[in-house]
Amino acid sequence: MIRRLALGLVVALVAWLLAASSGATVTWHGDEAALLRLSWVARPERIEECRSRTDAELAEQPAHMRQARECRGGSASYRLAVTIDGEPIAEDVLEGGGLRKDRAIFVLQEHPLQPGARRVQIRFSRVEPSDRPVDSADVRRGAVPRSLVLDTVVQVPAAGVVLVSFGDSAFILKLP
Amino acid sequence: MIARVERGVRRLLRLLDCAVHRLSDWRFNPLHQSGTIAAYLLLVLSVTGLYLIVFYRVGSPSESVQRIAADPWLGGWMRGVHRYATDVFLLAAVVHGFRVFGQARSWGPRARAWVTGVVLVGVGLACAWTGFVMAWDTFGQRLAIVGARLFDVLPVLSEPVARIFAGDRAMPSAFFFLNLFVHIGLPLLMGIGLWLHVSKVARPVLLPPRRLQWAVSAGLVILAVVIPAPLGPAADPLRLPAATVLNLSSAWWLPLAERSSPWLVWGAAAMLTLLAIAVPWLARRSRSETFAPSVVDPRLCTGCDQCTQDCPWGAITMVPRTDGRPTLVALVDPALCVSCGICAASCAPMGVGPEGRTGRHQLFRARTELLPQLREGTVDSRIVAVCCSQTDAMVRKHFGSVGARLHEVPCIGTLHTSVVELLLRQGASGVFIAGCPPRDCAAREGPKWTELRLFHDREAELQERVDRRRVHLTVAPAGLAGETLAEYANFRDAVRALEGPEVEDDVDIRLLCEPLEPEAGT
Repeated sequence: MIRRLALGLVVALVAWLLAASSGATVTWHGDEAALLRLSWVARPERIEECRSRTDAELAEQPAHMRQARECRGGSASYRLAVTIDGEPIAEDVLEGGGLRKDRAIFVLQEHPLQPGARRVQIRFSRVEPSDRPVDSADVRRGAVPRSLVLDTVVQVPAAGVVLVSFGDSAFILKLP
Repeated sequence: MIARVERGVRRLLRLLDCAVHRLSDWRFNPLHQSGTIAAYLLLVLSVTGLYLIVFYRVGSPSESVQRIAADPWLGGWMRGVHRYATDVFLLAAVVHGFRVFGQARSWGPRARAWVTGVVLVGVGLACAWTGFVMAWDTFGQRLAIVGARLFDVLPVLSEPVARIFAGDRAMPSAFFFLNLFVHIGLPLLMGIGLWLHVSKVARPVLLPPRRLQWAVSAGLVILAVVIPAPLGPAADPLRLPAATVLNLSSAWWLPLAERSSPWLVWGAAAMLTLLAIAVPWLARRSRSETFAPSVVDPRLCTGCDQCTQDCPWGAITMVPRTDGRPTLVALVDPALCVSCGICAASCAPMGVGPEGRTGRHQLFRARTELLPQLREGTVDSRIVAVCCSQTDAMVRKHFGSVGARLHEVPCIGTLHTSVVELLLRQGASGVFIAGCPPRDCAAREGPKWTELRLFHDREAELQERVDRRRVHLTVAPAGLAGETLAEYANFRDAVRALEGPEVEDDVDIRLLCEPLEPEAGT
């Protein structure tokens, strides 16, 4: 009888331990956490040197490769600067994705914030200077504007995420 | 070093075995059945998973799981059983691994079973990971984010996967569909892994005894009803939960991974995996003496096929002879033989077995070591206690103190019945054979074959002329030395009540089994 009782107790204890280990509660962000999350995809402008090919050069090419203009170059890089309440917290130069850096720039950054009213300034601007107007091809490709600025005061909620994304040529601010 | 770790693990498991045996029937010790329990739980997980998948929606994962969990009739506890079965599966698989490691059964021909076992545990963890993400509560979100962070450092995709969870767009159904696809696909891989895991053993046992199956199933259902499986609030990418539920059996590493660099996590995971996979090579022994593979003496082999039937590892095949005799001859594949010695006791003419442990060697040892001691003495002191060297050391120690002649063998399944006959005909008043619990036998099938050979005429059977009242076969589970010794005392009393055995002075059992001469003209 005592043996059975002990067995029952041990089984119950093991079961309880199993349930407890399956549903343990563990801290993740804490009570007073808040976050500034930057998340967007930006297609960089192309930086190209173009010239017209001569007739002789065109004649050297196979028929299906005879393009009148030849362009060489790469994609622009962009500086991302983040300032909270006037204090710079991040500054990075971002390049396009892929081995040749000719793919879109994927931005995903998270910066801790204190809940309350916060002045958030974000500047995303092209690094390589350019005095020529934006190429129509870049517009067609949906390239990001040469400079994007967000300067606003946000009421940051406790345990909330302030999300900054990009769409329609401007930053979009999203709060929980 | 590794042998010391093995000893430590063995001691720890023995302590746990002792505790379990004191509380319950050793026949249902779940620690002995950990491998089969893990396999059985794969079935439980498949059945409960099939039910849950009917009600799961990739378009609204969180809501559908909340609905399932809120269903008091079937859904709630079905989900609970699924979740708790995952925990027990991982626990059972790890215990099984430790038991195999502690019994030094991880190396040599068993290396494939070990490596596939490690892979099965890894795939099980990955499957649990995707399962938690399916629920898309805060715990699932936490796992998904860490997973994405780990994946994003690999040069695979140019777009970070973690952006899916940023909150700037709705979570794509495609993600949950892919996750579901992986969650279903991985168990199929586990099925293949399980087949590989047992592919080198003959007659693999995949399920625990029926009573234990019922106990495990009922235990899971009761637990799921009494303590419903935890489910956190629905994930919200723009909310930062202060805390989440954490499943310790499959996600104990999560808080560490969150605080470490992804490369460090990959490095630690790779190191742990490599270490686990390398165990068979770290634990390997020299394949001579104790671990020498069996050899066949073709002069003695009658081609009866019994050793191929009895070998627990399928290491023996019958091949055509080259000496002109009309029968087949047994051939041992050393790459498959684990040197368990079971074949030595299966061969009536004693023509197979590891070097130094064939039936003939056993007879020689019995003659030189035991018989001289049995010539004189009382009935009590002429009882031979044949004990497997893997049984509880306490049992073996106490046999001496109760006056029995202890005769240790590597496994009772290696004990040739001719040894029992020889002992009883030349002075032993009784033979008490104590082996390991059948599901804890390092040679897999030692107790089963021994019983059949002694009492049910399986070759090489104990001859009819031997008085069965003087032979007793029992199991000596860890922690139950008192019970084993009490059984021994009963046997001793029964032997005392018998008339004294007639001692035959000149018995040469080997003569009964001399090799067949090739037939003339063949």
